Amino acid sequence: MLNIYRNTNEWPSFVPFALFDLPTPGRSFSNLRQDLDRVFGTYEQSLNGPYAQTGENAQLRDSGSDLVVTIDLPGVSKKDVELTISGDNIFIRATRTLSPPEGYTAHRRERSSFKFEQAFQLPVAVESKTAVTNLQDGVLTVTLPKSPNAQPKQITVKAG
Amino acid sequence: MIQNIVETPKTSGPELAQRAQEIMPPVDIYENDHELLVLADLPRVTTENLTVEVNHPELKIQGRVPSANHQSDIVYTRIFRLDSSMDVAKIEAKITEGVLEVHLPKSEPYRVRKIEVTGA
Repeated sequence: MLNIYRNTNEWPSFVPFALFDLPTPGRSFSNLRQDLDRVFGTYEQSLNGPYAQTGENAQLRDSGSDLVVTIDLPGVSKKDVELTISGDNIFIRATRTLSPPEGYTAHRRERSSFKFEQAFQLPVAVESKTAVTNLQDGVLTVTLPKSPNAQPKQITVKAG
Repeated sequence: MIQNIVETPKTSGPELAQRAQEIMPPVDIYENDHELLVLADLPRVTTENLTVEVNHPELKIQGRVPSANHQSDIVYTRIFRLDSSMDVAKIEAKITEGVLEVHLPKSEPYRVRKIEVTGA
């Protein structure tokens, strides 16, 4: 099972909060994207490399009512993923430990073990209780419903 | 260096759409007495969008990730040249958690066999 820790006030001491801009009013989605890009390497950059660097393809999508985070984690099983959501902060840790299959000798080893640890700040508060995670096809998807105040609203404009 | 599986440089085929980002996925190659085992990281690739093709002597692995958010498709490709020691008819492949496994059994004459030595 994938462990989800909600509303935890005890953050691991190594969480690199310093990497993030201080939250300011009007902090927009593109700021977050820049934060993600700075931390993970931009999606485009990682695509242009000689090899796709595992775990670098992190994407954030705003679907209107939800924020959706996806991270490429091939070969990572559920028990090796830990997710902590607290207010508008999210912390993701995933590990992959590779060893040659028993009885085989290695000729080429480009795939690497990794420990992926990242914290980031979301542009709006989310409802952590109804967050949904899914690990499928080597991709972790975290769907975070925005809190009621952050939900998009349509305002009807009345004729004067 | 191993001779039974050698990577060949890839040339872009006409089948690739204009808006595709090509990626060489990281690959591990292992060998035991009976087979070669190729592992490739192909996150987001599902079986419908994955082809493992042997057109002797080439083994071609290609996976496509359809675009999301109007970005380009991602196309993962690796091509290897196999020698004649592999039993092409018995190659098997499966993908689990975004990791592709290709099993390439050695044909009978190339398998390692222990010969029992008998006394006179």
